[in-house]
Amino acid sequence: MTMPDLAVLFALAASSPSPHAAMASPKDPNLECLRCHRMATMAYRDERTGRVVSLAVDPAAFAASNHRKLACTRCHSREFRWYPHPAETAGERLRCLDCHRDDPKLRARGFPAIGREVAASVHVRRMGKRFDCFACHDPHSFRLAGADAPSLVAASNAVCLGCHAGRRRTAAPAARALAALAAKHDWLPNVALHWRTVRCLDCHLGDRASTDTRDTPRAAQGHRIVPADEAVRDCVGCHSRNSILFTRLYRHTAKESRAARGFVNAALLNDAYVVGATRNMAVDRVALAVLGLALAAIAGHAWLRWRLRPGLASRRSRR
Amino acid sequence: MRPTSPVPLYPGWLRGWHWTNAALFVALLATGFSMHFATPGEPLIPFRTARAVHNLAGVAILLLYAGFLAVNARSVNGRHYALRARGLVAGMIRQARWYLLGIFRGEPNPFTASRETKFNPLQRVTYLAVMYGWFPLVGITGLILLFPEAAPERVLGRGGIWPAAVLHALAAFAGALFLAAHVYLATTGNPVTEYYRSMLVGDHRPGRRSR
Repeated sequence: MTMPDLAVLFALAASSPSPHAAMASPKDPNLECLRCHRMATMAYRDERTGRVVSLAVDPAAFAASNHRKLACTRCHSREFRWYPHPAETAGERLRCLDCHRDDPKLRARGFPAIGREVAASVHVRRMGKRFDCFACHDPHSFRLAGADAPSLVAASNAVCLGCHAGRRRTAAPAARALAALAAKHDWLPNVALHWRTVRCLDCHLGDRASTDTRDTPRAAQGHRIVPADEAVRDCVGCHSRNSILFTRLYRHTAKESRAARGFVNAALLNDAYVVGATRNMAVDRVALAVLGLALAAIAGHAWLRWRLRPGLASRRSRR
Repeated sequence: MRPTSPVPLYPGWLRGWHWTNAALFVALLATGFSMHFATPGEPLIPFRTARAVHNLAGVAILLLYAGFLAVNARSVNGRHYALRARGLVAGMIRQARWYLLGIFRGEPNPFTASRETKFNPLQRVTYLAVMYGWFPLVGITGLILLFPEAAPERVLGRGGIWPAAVLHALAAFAGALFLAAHVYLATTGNPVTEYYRSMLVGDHRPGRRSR
């Protein structure tokens, strides 16, 4: 018996209807597929590479994903409806652009540009075609993070750490990988805080000139990841009024806040505090004005003291 | 008023504390404003340097402040910061009037420092506010910024570091204002360098006509 057969047997054994399945619409075309594929251990060993390939789909994650309304056979071959799956389905290779290239609803997201950006990224340059969209984005659980910074950061960094800090490995090597990664970032003060509050991407897209000024749709700009030695390494890249965070992590909120309150800083002031970037302009202006007036008053006082110093009048009258 | 003999007003430990405090204060203002107004190209102090100096100087000045509190709790020096309600307002008005008018007319300073009363009424109120109000505020907010993970996650629906950061920046502006006024008012002795001299060598020569 081959591995896929075994897996299917296990899946069938575990396929008694759950409350969740019972509540789902009987018309849900995905139920049939999920009867087997919902099993977390459903996998086979690829004979060529020897690697275990998971065939499991977490129904809860899928139900919360951006693709939740799609039937399995919208992306996968309709031949998968039959079981055992026909032999010709075995070589199926899907790509995001198969669906997304010409979808008018998604045109603004610039999927073709994303493809170009990924092709120029360090990942594809080093790994070639082995690195595809699915390396980072699982189509069965993919969902756009909220526009608020904390959820963006958590979702985005989880993707990077999935490979770079071994979140997919067992606990002990994962902890070692994370420690090694932290050591590589030891130039950064308060590494843990930085990792919690900014995305890896915010530095690892390189400096502004290499990404932001090019004629590339915004959504695609987050895909040309540069090698570590080209990442942003100067503090004022973020810690200044012209912070790159306003065009990256905070671009959603920055846009909203500019429209609503007239100044970009409010975006960060509501959410986080980034030294140098989140000055409240009104507070600064008032404080600097008060300080300026005080210095002027001191200068005036000193000048008067000099002009009215004792003996000056008598010296003048003698002259 | 005739000049009288010098009064030993500032013992060595106090002068050391004062000038160390002053140096740290200036370093903190310079590095703090450099980070607050950070600009690409870094025309002021490089961010990385400013951060390191600011953190070190901040911790050092807080240790010094702890020493100040301990000394004032155990020695007579603390009494200079105690307010006595009687005659305080009148004294403050008299002192303010001299700064605003009398000083230009060559009138003598209405206040003469002595070992018993080191600060004039305006100084007394200002130094009390600075040392027991401003210092704890800037110290606590500074510590929150130094250990941001200890700050509450959210305060009033905003990021928890935000209130500390804004208060710290406002306190810095107030500190700069204090420094400017302090450095200038220290020239109101007679001669103008008298107060600087006395804080350097320790004795004060009171009773000379001030302007």
